[in-house]
Amino acid sequence: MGDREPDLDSVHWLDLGPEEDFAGSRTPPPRWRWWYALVAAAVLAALLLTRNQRSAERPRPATAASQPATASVGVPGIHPPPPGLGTAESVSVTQTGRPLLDVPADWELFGQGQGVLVRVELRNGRVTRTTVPELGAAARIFLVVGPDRALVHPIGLVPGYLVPDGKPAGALPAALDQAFAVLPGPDSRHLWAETRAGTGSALSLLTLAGRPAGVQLPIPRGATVRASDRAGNVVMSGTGGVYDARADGLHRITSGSLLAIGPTRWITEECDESYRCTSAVTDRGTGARRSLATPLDGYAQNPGAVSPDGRTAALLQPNGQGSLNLHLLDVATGAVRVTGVTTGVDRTGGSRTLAWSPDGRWLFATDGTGRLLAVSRTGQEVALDVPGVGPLDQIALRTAAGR
Amino acid sequence: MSVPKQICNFRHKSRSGSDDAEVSTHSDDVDWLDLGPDPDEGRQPKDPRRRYVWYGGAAAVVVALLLTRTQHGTNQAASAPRSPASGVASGSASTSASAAGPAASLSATDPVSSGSFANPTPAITNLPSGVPMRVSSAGHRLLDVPADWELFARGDDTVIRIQLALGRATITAVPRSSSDAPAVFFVGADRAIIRPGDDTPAFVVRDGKTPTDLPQALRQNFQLLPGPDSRHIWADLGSGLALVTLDGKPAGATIDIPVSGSVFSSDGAGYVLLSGPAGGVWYAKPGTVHRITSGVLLASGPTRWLINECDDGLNCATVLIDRASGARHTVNAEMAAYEQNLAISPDGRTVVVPRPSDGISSDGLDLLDLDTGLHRPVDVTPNGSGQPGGPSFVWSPDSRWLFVVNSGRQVAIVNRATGKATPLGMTLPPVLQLGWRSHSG
Repeated sequence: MGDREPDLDSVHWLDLGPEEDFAGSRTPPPRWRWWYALVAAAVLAALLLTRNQRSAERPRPATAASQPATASVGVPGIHPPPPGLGTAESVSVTQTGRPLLDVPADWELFGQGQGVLVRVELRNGRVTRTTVPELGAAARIFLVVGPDRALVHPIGLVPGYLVPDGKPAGALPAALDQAFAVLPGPDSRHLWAETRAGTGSALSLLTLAGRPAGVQLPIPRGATVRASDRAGNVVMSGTGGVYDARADGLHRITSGSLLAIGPTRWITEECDESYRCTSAVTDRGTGARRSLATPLDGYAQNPGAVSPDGRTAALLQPNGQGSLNLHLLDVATGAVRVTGVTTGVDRTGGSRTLAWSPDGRWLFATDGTGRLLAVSRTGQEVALDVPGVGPLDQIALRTAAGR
Repeated sequence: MSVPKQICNFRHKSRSGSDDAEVSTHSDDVDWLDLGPDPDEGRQPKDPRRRYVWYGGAAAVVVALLLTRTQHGTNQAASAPRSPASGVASGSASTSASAAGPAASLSATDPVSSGSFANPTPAITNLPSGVPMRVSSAGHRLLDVPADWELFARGDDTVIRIQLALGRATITAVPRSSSDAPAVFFVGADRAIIRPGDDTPAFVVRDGKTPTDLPQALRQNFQLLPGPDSRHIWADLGSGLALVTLDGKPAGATIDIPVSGSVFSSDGAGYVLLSGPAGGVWYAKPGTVHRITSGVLLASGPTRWLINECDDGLNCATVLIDRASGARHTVNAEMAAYEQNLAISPDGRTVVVPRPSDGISSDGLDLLDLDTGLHRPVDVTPNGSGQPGGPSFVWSPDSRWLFVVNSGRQVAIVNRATGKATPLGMTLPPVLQLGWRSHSG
C-alpha cells in the first residue's frame, strides 16, 4: 500500500440511484396533491389519536404544554415536543466581520452542545446560534447534518429535535423520533435509523423527513450500532470484532479494535494467536493491510478519524493523566505528532468530536472544554473563536459538494 | 512445603480419578502442570475418626513447638499488618471456640488459631454471635460417592464443609459479608479461602478450625485463582501471576500476562483465561498464551471449551473445542453470546443452559447434551436470576452430579442422566456459592 493514494472508486459506496425527491425541493404533480392531502389528513388524525392516548398514559412535562408550537414543525414526533423548542427569538446571527478560517466559502461547521446548536460559516465569519432543548446526560447523542437542516437525536427513546437552517428548533419527524439511533447516510439527504423490525431491529435508510428509502438491513442479535463508517454505511460491533454494515450485508473490519475510521482507510489493532498485538492500516478499496510499527492504544472508546485522502489519522490516545491527547498519525510513515489538544474521556464517548475537511488539510475538533478548534495536518492549532457559544460536544461539516 | 524442582515441566498426566466409563474426551492429552507426586495419591480414603488419635499426638507436638516459638510468633504477629477485623489476640478466639459446644473437641486440638508457624494469622473476632463451629450429621450418606468427595458452600456468614459420603456438615461461622457481592471462594486441600466482594477482609477457614486472617503473603493480591492442584493458587504478581502455596509461598511457576490483557477467570484446569480490549479470549499457562477464540467463551472446562464464534459476515455458531486435540465441531444449539461462564461438566459433554423461552416464561434450566444438541429439563429453580453457571453450580468430578444452589438457598443435587433434582438431605444455613474438593480428582 505504502504511500499510494487509496482508490476511492474501490470503496463500497452505497448507490441510491437517481436523486430522490427531497422535501421542499420540487412541487408535486397536480394530481398527486389531492392524494397527499388525504394521506396527510389521515396521518394527522392518527397522530392526534396516538398522542391523546399517550398523554393519558404518562404525564407530560409541565413546561411542555406551555411551549408554543413552532412554524418549522412539519410532522410532529411521537414524543411530546421536548421542552425548550424555540421561537423565532431563539435564533441569533453574529457576524464576526472577518473569516474564521481561510477555507472555501461553502464550508459550514455545525456544533452541538447543551442547549445550543451552532452553524459556523467559516469563510464568511457568520455564526448562527439556535437555542435548543437541553438533553441532559444522554449517553450518546447523534448529530446528522443535511443540506438544509441539522438533526440531533439522543440514543434511545429520548426526544430529539431538528433545526432547519435559520429557523428555530422543532420536533423530529415521527419516524426519526421513534428510532433508537440515527447516523449519517450515504448522502446528505438520507440517514440510517436503527428501527424496530419484527422481534429484532434493523438499519433502515430514511430520508431526512423520515420516509423509507428502500434499504433495510437486519441487525444481528448481539450486534451494536457504533458509528458512521464515514462512507455512508454503519459500523457495528458484534461477537468476534467490528463489522461494516453495507447494503450487501455485514463485512468484518477487524477481529480486534477499530482505532480510526475514514472513507478510504481503517486503522485497527489486532492480536494474534499468542496475544502479540499490532496496529495496522487497511485500504478499504483493496482490502490490503499493512502493519504499523507505531504502538497505539487499543483502549480507545471512540474511534478516531482518518482523513478523506487516507494520509493522516486523528487518534485520541490516553495520556496517562486520565485524559486523551489528540495524535496525528502519518499513515505512510507511522510517524506520530502529539498535538496540544487534550480532551476528556467523558466528552468523547460515542460522540463525534473530530471532522476532517474534504481536502484533508484541516481537522476540526473540540477539546476538553468544548472549545472549537481547527488543527492543520502538521499539528498547528487554530482556535475558532465563535462568540456566544458554550462548550460543544459534537461537530459535523457541511460542504456544497455534500449537499 | 517444599517446592518440586520440576514444577515448570509439563507432562501428560493421567487424570484417572474419573470413573465415568462414558467419558469420550482425551483428558490424558491435556497439558497438566506437574507439581510432583501428590502426597495422597494411591491412598485409600481414611476413616476420619482415626485422625483424632493423630490429632492428640500432633497437638502435643504442636504445643511443644509453640512454647518454644511463642516469642518469635508474637514478634511477627505484632509487626505484620493486620486486617481491621483482627484486633484481639488469637488466644481469645481459640478460647471461645473451645467453649462452644459440639465442635469444641475439633477446635480444642488447636491451641492457637495461627494458620502457620512461619506466617501466623490471627483469629478473626468480628464473627456473628452464636456457635463458631458446629458439626451436623444427617445420620446417613447424602450421596453414594467416594468418601473423599466434599462439597463446600458459602453463605452470608458461614462456610460449610459437606462430607457427602459421611452425611456430615461442618458449619463454621465467618465474618458476615454482603450477599450481592461476588466473592473469591477457593477450596484447597485443607482449607477454604474466601475474599468477600465487599469491604470485608479476606479470611481462611482451615478444616475443623475457626476462621483466621488470610496469610500476610496473600493479603495484597487482587486475584486468587485455582492452581493446577488443590495445594496451589495463582496470585497476581507485577505483570503476571505467580503460583504460590496456600500460605502464599512462591512455588516457582509464573504466567506472564500481556500488557493489555486482563485475567478474568480460571480455565477450569488450573490455568487462567485472558481477554483484551481487542476482543477474543486466550488461555495462559507458564510460557504459553494461546487464543481460544476471536469470539466469546461460553464455558470452560478441563476437557472442552464451548464458544460462540462468528464469520466475516457475523454469522455465528456455537462450537465445541476439544482441548487436547484442538478438534472443533459445531453444536446443534443456538446460544447467545451473552450466555457466558456456563457450568460445563468435567467430561465436556453437558452444559447447563437457560431454558429456551416458551413465550411465557424463561425461568428454568436445561442440561444441553453437547454431542447431540438435546435439551433435558432440570427440575430445580436456581438461586438468583443470573446465568446458569458461576459460583452457584458445581459438577462432581465424574460428571454424574450437578450441585445447584436453589431458590431457597439450599443445595439441590441434579442427576445428569435424568435431570431430576433432589434435596441434599440436610438443612443448611442459607448458602450462596459452592466449591468442591476431592483428593482423587
